[in-house]
Amino acid sequence: MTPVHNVLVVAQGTFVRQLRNKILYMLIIVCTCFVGVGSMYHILTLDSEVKLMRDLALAGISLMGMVVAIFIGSNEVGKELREGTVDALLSKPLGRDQFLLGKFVGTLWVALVNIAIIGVGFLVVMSFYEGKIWVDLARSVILNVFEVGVLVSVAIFFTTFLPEAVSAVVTFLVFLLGHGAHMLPMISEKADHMPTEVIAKGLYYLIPNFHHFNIRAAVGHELEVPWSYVGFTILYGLFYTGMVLSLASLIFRKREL
Amino acid sequence: MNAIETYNLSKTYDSFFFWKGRPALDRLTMAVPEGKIFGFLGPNGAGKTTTLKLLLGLLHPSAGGGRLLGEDMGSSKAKERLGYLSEKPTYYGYLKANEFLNYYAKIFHIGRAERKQRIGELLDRVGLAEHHQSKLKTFSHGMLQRVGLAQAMLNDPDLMLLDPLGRKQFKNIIKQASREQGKTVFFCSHILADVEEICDMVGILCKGHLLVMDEVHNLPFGQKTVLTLKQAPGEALAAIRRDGVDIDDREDTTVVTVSSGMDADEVEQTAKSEGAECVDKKVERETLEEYFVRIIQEAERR
Amino acid sequence: MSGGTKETVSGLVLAGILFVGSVYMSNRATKIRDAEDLLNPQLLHTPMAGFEPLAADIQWIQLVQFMGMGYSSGKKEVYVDRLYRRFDRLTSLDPYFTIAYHYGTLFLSVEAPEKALSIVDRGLDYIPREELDWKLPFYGAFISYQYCEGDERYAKSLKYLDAAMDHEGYPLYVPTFRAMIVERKDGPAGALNEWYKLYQNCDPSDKTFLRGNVERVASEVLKNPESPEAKQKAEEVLKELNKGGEEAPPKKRATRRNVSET
Repeated sequence: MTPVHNVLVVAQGTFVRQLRNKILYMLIIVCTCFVGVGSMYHILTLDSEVKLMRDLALAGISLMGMVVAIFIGSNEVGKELREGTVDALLSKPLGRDQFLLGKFVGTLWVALVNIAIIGVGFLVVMSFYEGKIWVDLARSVILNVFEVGVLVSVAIFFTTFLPEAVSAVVTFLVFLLGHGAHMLPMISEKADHMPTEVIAKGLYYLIPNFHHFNIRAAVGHELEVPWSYVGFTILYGLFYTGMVLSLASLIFRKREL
Repeated sequence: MNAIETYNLSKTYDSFFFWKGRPALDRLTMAVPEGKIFGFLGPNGAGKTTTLKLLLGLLHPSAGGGRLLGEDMGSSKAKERLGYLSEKPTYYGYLKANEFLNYYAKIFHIGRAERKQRIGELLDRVGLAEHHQSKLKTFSHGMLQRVGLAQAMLNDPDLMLLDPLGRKQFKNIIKQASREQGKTVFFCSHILADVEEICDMVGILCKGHLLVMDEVHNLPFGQKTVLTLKQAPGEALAAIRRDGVDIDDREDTTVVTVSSGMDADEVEQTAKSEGAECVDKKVERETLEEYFVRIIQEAERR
Repeated sequence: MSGGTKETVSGLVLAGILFVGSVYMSNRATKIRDAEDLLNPQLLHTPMAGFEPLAADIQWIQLVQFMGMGYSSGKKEVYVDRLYRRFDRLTSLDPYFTIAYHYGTLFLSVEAPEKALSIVDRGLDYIPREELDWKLPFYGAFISYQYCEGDERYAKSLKYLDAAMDHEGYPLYVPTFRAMIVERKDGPAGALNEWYKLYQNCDPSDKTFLRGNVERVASEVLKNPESPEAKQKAEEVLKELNKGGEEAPPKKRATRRNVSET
């Protein structure tokens, strides 16, 4: 139980540190206001303001997750390395793997709490406006959480060998690439050149495919998303996160502090 | 059993394939017995902090290895029984002193009630009892060092690694830890007077090489000659001014210290021939600081 | 193998196994996505890092303003072209944006009917069945009938009307329109069956109106029968109508509402 205990100690420390982060509170307020304001758009949207509000809600949740993953994920490990607080921490019986995993769990915990606050807020606003509970929001939020998990692991991976600011930028680029990764098989199919075909196919599997987690369009239109799809996407997220954290751990173990 | 053992411990920074890199530590082999206070001395860049970090597993050795309290250096088992205070204590500014110690104490699996009691005792011991609710970002450097010492003692360690020794009040704490509780203390320092006062053993490092390691009373101190000159004219002082001769010009007298290895009689004769009057001459054992400076100068000349 | 090397190798092996697992799960998820088709209009997506639906909403708000602005004289073609491209972009971002297809079709139906029809086609391809209703294909039928020429006119109209009648809730004028087009295309003999089936399956409240059209078409067939079979069919239909014991509706005076004159 010691490794699990140590991971949770570091995770709790991370969470407590981020409770003081005012930016997150501002994001929560802004996102909730946006959705509330969306109800006033019925004139401009020719009475399709409900769709706008739902899309704002889903985008807000996604944005919150992205901000936490990229900025906090990059900052947590990087700041400790830069300020040297990691020396005192790792002089205790705390393995480097446990430290990294603790940072991952802590950052994900922060994201979860913020997403839950926004999610519940949206649920209340939309239920009040539509007169029914928007149950399908849960499916999108579940996949959003696993998407955030993948992004946090990527951010932590880059922080093990890049400075914080560079790591944040690179993670953001991976986020953008990941949302376009689903087009790589098309490039692979249409390529006349064998190396291009192979590289495109390889990149498709190497880059995190965030498109899998994106069911916002379907949920926004109240379309049925099979639970089998949700299940396989969750498993994809778990495997990918595990792979990235393993590689991060390998690099971090070799790092001179 | 030795508290610390190293064998051919070496560290070279920035080496890559055929690029040789910068050697920071070269085949350090030493053994520090349990229960001793060991002073690790050396000029800036000698490799003291590198040695500490290698022992803690924060750096990876280029060659060789070591053991702490019978366990591999850098292992969790070793770390369970040691406490570390770094050269520049940087901690989480947003945490209060007691929160900060609580965070580290959890890693040692100390129960809640025991944590509370121990943290209170430690803060009292390092003189920070009234600041237990203050955030670390409000602490001065000295206060940070004190809270750093407190976190190094959280687990009642058998071995304390301190870089550097720190404030004078730490001396009492360290003496008590070693003499009364049998703990081993390994610290780096520049304040040689403190080292001479409390250390059982010293090691002197220069450019990654261990020059000397022995019990303090076994060190081959040299003899220095102290000449007291009265009304020494400037020409006399100029004539005797050289490496190994320290001149302290006071109001009525001038104290000339000739380190061991120098010809004190020749210096005396030269001063007298230039018109200085020698009123006193005595031979003393050189201090640890003087010994240290001499050893380092000899090493750098080689 | 030293301890450090062993750790590195086992770490790499673990990462490799997890990578293979992620590839497998990704492929399974993609298969379901493709099969369901609901989640996979990927060919149309303008990458917006997952924020496509919101970007579509913002585009829609801008488009509503643009539609309301109209165009000044002499700038019709530019307006129509821009309108179409905006609809194209919007439906690329969110292919399920049903209301955009409706408005796009209606706004372009007069000035650029072929563009309006392309919007209808895209909507029929991408709007999921649960969200699609009879209206969009009906617009397609109407536009095709109004603006297409030759054989295409009837063929396209009928194709869209069949698509409209594939959904529930369509009003009477949809199958009535279909019957009328069949009558124009194949003549009274070809349309008699169409009208009669419509009459047999309609609501009681519509029987009177449809009976009138059945009788009209049957009379026209009897006046100029194309074949003995057609004449016989017309007679049977009239017999069935009278057998039902329903009173024949009073003859209406020719008005604009008489379908045969539409």
